[in-house]
Amino acid sequence: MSMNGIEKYAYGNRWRRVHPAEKVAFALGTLVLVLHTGCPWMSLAVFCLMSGLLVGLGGVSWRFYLRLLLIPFAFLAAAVIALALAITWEESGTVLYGLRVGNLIIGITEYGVAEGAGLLLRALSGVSCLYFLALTTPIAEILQVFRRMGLPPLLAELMALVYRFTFVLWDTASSMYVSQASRLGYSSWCRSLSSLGQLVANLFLKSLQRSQMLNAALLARGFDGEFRVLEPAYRLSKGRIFLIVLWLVFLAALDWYGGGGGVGSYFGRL
Amino acid sequence: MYRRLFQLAIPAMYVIVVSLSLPRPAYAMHIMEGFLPLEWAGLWFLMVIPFWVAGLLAVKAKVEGNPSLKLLLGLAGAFAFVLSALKLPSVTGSCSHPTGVGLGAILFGPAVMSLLGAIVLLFQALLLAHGGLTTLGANAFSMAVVGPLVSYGIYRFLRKGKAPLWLATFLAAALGNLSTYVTTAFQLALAFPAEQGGISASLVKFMAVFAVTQVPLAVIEGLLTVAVFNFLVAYNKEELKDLAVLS
Repeated sequence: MSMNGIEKYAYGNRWRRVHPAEKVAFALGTLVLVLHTGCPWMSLAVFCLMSGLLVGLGGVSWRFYLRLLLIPFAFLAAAVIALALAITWEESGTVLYGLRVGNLIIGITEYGVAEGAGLLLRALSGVSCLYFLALTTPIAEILQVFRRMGLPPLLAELMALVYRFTFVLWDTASSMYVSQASRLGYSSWCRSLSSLGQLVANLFLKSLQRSQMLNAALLARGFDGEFRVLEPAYRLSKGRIFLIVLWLVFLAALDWYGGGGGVGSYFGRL
Repeated sequence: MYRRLFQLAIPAMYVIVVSLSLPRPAYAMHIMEGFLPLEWAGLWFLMVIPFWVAGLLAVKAKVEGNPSLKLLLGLAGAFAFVLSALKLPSVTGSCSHPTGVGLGAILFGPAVMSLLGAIVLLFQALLLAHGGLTTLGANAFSMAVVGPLVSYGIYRFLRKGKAPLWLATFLAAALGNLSTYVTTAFQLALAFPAEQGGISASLVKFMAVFAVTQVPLAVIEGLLTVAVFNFLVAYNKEELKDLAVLS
C-alpha cells in the first residue's frame, strides 16, 4: 500500500543501492546552501540538476515528478499573490497595474513581482532537493542516518513505530471508508460529516486495541522496552563521497565569493 | 460609489476564484520547502526546540515505568498522521484535510502533541510531499505547539466553566485550526514584510489570501471533531478513561 507512489520509488529507484548517509548529505547540504545563497540562477541550476538526477538517471517517471511538483502549488500561488499585491497610499512610479480605492491604491508593484519570481525559483529548488531525498531513500533508512547523527533513541523509536503503523491504520481507514461509501455513507454533505466522524472515532478505538494486542505479542517474546532490528548493509563509496564534498565546497565557495549574494551578483539578478 | 465597489469587487472576486479553483487547498497552511529564508527557518527551529525537549522529557518520564505506553504513543502518532490525510467533506468541491490539531490535543495533551506533531509533519514532507524539511521548525511551531496549546487551553477552560461538551470540542478544534493559520500568516509576514507598511501590511495580506480557504475549513474541522467526540463518548468511554495517563 502506498499513499501516492513516493514510497514505491523510494524502494525501487536506481539510487537505491547508494549509502543513505551519502544521499542525505547531498540533498540536505545542497538544500541549505542553495537557500542561503538565494540566487535565482543557482536555484534554477540546482532544480535542473536534481530533476535530472531523479528523472534522467533515477528512473522516476516525469509525469509522476510533475504531479509531485504541483502539490505545493496551492500554497505557492496563494503566497505569491499575497506578496505581489501591494497596498499603497500614494501614487508611485513602481505600480505596474493598480486600482484606486479612495486614497488607497491596490496594485502590483515591480518590487512585488521581482520578489515573487525569485521566491518561486528558490522554492522550486528547495522542493527538488526534498523530492530527491524522498524519492531515493526509504524513510526507515533516513531515520537510521538521523539516529547515527545523535537523534535521541526514544524519539527515533517513536518515529519508527509511527512510520510502521501509519500504513496499518491507513489500510484500516481505507477499508472503513469503502464499506461506508458502499452503504451510501457519503451521499450528502451532512451524511459525510457524520460518517467521517464515525470513521475517525472507530479508527481511534482500533488504534488503542491494536496497541494492546501488540503489547501482548511483544511481552510474550520478552520485550524489555527496546526494539532491536537488523539494518541492511550498505557500503560507503570513496568516489561518491569525494564528489559530494567537492560539490558542496563548490556551492559554498560560490556563495562566499558572491558576497552572500552568491553567483547572482556576477550574472545579474532576474 | 458603485464604480468604487465594482473596482474593489474585481480583485476580491479574482482572489476567491483563484483560491477555489486551486487543485488542492489541501495542506495549504504547511509552509512549503524553500519558501522561508534560511535565517527565519533557523529561528523557528530555535523557537520550537524547547517544546520538543519538554515533550521528550514528559514522554520519557511516562514511558520509563511503563514500556507499553511507547506502543500506545506510536499508534497515537500514526492515528494523527492518518487523520491529517483524510479528506474532509468540503463546501467548494475541492478536497481538503483536517489538521487534527484540536482532536489530538484533547486526546493526548499538548506536551505529547508537540512531539507527535513534529513526527507527523516530517512524514508528511517525506511521504506526501507536503511541507518541508527546512520549514519543519516553522510548521511545527504553528501546528504542533501553538495550535494544540490553544485547543487544549480552550477545552480545559470551557469544561471547567461547565460548558457543554459539544461547544467545548467545537471551539477547541475550530480555534486551534484558526490559531494555526494566524501563526503561519504571522511567520510569513515576519519573513516577507511589505515594501510599504512593513510587517503589519504584509500580515493583513497573507491573512486575507489564506482566510478564503481556512475560515470555512476551521468550521468544518470543528463540526467533524464534535461528531468524533459524540461517537467516542457514546461508545468508548472506557478507552477515554484509560487514555488519561497520557495527558
